[in-house]
Amino acid sequence: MPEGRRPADSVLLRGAAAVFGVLGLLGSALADGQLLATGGVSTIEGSAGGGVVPWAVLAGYGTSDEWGGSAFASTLNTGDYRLDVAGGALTFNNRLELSLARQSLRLSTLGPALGLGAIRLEQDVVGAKLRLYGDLIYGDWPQLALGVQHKRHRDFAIPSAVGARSSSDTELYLSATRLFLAGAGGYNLLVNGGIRYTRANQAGLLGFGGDQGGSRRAQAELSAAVLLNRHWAVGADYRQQPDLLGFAKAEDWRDLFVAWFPNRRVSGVLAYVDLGDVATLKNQRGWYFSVVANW
Amino acid sequence: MPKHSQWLRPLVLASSLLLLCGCVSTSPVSGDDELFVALGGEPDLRLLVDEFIAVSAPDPRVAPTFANTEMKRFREKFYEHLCELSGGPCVYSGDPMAEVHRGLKINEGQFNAVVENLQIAMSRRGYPQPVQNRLLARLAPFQRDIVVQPGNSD
Repeated sequence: MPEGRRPADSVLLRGAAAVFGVLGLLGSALADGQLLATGGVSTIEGSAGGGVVPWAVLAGYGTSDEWGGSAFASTLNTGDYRLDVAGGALTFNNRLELSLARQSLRLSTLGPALGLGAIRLEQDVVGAKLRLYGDLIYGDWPQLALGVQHKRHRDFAIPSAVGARSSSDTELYLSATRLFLAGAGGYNLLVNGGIRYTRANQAGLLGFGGDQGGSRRAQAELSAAVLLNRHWAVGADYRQQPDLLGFAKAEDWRDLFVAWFPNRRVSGVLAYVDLGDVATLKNQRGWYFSVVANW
Repeated sequence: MPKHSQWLRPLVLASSLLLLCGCVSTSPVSGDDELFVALGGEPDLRLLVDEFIAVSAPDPRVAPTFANTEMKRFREKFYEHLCELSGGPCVYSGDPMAEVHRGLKINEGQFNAVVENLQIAMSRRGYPQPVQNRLLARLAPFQRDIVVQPGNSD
């Protein structure tokens, strides 16, 4: 091969080494051990799960001897509100998931009504989820996971003005998820049940606690999905909400979703979400889109 | 009555019903040959085994685990196993799953790759999704015997 090492060669060599290094890293980072769709998708809080409910599964497709992860972008538009979220998660040995998400809520109607223009409220969510026991598919126990999410509101003036007590909080959740093979008329059925210990108003986008109460309470979070085949799933989420602000009633969230898993690298979600009444505006319903990249 | 409870009750009910039907239909082999018949009996099941081997042979995830396998024997024993599990008129005459796979150090990823290849093979053979899933449900309990469990040296 090369006769002598001229500077240009060594630059090329270094460049090539860097490229191969990156490719090698990427190659080794592609954790593909889990079955398609069993990593779920990314929730609006960054943890793996359905659209608005975290499941006991961890992000990505890594097994107990692999690292995996995901990155996502999601948007929900009810007309009066628009929520944009971006984030990602890393999973270590299918045991621990660490996640990050930034949420940005545009007050399309309330902002102008308050003379503030189309302002945005931002919140950061840092999460960790530990798989405690069991397995999504195999063995006698469903997969059980304990999660913690620390949320920090970045624009607390409006939540504060409507009665929220705190701009940040930490909440715990426990979830159990199981995929029943042939569980729904021969189709595979995923069922998730969880409890979140929370005092978040609209998941924290309107702060934490309020004039109607400041303590955390247990709220139910449920999901069910039918896998039509390896690539398509349809399902529903339900997420109970605390109602701690006197100025407007908070209602439970629910959605119907279709998720597409063409391969282990990407997945997409289309959902119709009903947030109920949100901050005095009635019947907040709209479409939710999400794109998730996995590795 | 708060509005959310109107939604919660039917949802909880629906989930319980779904769970219930999940438990019922994933219950172990019932003794009838309904699934064996749905799989097309012996000729189709043998073709499925061939298709599975065709899908798995070039798959770098699982090919190494078949490196020392005598394929003729595997082909026959896998057929027998599927036939028996689906309620067909066969008795699996091979060694127990745990014994067959001991020493192969099959990890979760390799097991799932085999499941995926079987799904692909079943799709290529034109089986409807419910038939595919019913067969997988009968194979799933063996995962614990086949895969080296994390933290377990055996």
